[in-house]
Amino acid sequence: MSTSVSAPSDRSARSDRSALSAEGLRVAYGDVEVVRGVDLVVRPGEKVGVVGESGCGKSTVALALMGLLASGGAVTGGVVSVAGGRVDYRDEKALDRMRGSQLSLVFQDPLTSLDPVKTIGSQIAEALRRHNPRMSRAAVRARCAELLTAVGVPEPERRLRQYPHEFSGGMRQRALIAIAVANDPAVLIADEPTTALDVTTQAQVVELLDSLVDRLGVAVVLVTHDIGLVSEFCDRVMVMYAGRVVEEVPSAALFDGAAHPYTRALLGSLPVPGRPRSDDLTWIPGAPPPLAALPAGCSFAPRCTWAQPECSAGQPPRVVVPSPGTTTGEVHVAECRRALEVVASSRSDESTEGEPRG
Amino acid sequence: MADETSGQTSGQTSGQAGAPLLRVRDLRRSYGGPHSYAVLDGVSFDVRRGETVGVVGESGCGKSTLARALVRLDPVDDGRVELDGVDLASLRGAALRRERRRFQMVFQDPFGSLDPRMTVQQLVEQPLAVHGTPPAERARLVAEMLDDVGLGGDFAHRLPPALSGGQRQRVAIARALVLRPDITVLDEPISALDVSVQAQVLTLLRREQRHLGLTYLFITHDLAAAEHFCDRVMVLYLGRVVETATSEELFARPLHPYSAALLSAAPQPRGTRERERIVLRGEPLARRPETGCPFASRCPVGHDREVCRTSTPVLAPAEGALGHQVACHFPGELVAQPLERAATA
Repeated sequence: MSTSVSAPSDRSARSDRSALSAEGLRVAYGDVEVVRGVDLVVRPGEKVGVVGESGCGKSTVALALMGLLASGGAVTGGVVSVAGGRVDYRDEKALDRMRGSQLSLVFQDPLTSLDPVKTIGSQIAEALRRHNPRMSRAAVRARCAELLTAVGVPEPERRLRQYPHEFSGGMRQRALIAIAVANDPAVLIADEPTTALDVTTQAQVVELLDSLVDRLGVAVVLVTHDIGLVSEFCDRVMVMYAGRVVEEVPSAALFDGAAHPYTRALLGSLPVPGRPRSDDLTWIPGAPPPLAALPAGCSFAPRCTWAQPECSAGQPPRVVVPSPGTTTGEVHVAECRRALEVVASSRSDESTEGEPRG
Repeated sequence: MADETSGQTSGQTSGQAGAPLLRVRDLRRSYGGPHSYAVLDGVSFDVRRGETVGVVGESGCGKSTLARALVRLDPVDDGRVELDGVDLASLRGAALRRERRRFQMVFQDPFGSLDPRMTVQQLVEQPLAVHGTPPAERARLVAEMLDDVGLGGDFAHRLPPALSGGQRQRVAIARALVLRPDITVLDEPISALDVSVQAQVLTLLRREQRHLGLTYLFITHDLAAAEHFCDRVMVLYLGRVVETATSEELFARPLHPYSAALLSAAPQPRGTRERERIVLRGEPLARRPETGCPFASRCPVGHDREVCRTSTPVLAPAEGALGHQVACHFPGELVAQPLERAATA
């Protein structure tokens, strides 16, 4: 509701330094709130990861930012600004202008997001014309070829005339990225862009995204379940659980300095290369709570080995975590009343996972 | 580590005592009529009792075809699959059905592989009924098995739609293991699950293995899981085994350029990566080329070498560790460079 209030111009001073900012974003499907107050700031050229398990709301955040929620879903709160301008999610025309030119989205499955009966060239051209209706035919053609080259598709002239089925999975994902960056957006949101791809192809696509950040200055929001991938690719990681960001941590501090018990548990369940085989993996008992019936207080408390009675009493505080080794200005915040103890235990005890579990 | 290597030697020489449980020789499987293509092109390996052997590779390498051929969901065109000396590839009809309880399979998708109208109890009992276990014994075995996988009590009467992905996969595992199979083929058993649940399923599989003395063939694209879970790993590329070694050996010292690239490409949490990532050029091929090494076109070592384009390397023992085999003209030439640990950009 609070979203429809149109007043705040005092925020602009802050938002013109970010490519994308969301404050207190809330999304609901009917009566069920699936995103429960998410803050996200992305600076130009920055790589931010959003990580979490199925159902945590990470893809919903991506769709909500784009104004592409499925029917029944709505942004119910929060302020979103893109390139300094506030986004009004009821103004379809404005959203149309924003999508592709300021904010772009790349989906997981490149086969279903491309139209099978149109050539790759005509699909890139469509994206260009949408925002540049008066662009000449020759200019469109030249720009299409340039874009395919930029995303590393060899023989662009021939490839433009081909259909999606003639492209491999990795090449389709490259074509989709070409469409997404065709109009020089400030931010590219990539929702599980490499999940459907093989490891060696994934490495190529990640390298491509990295080079686009360098060459075009586009910021990337990488939404994924792969905590290894985000921490390697991104500057900053937001860990989501049950519709909230429970920890925001610089990637460099993630592995040794994660402060939320959920983040630590995720890392503990990961078979990291080189980890001794005798070292049994840990897992999180139970399942995430249904969003329609969240427990009181901290939503992770019922599964948390660090939980105390007061965790279920009220919303956990946002604790600022001092992280050695990170530069000043980098935020490390965990939504847990015992965050500092969690960090201390993981730092004092490097060999075990810092999990008080037998 | 030392005893693992010596175990390897006795299996490899396959004397009477150390005869492997599963012996696969020159397995071939083709698809597609007149212009048929061999998805598996002469795959050979042994699996010893109590061992976990991993098969890793990317899509199209033939790993699922291998799984289906081994458990005879698909016919085998050529080659031998011997389980304790019985050639499964040639079995038909009743004889095949009798042998089936000795080799079981767990599929990737726990949503598609369970009948949604059967209770957990019925699902786990069904394979016993099919193989003629008397009802009284069935009840006992099912109860035991469900307890083992942590789905005892109330869970027994639930239907699959009321279960999470991890719980469903545990039902699928119980269905396979309740028959006490000699060998269990696990085809991507954790890839459809969330990370926190994957660890639970792997731990369960390992515990049951110790408990029941099981033998696993673990098919996966997830290298970290293979390293953690398997005693020995085979790397498959376009239908051929390009390298095989103990997990420790393979992950510490990959000799095939494809293995080296594959291992280095897997994403790793920042600060844990020890070697630089090798990014391959070009596109994966859908088919092996007519001549030469199937990896030659993408290979950082062999793409411009005549011998790689013209002659097909065969799987041969590598120098150094026992049991390490590699199919490459220039094994060990591509090494991912060690990273400086301290610096973070």
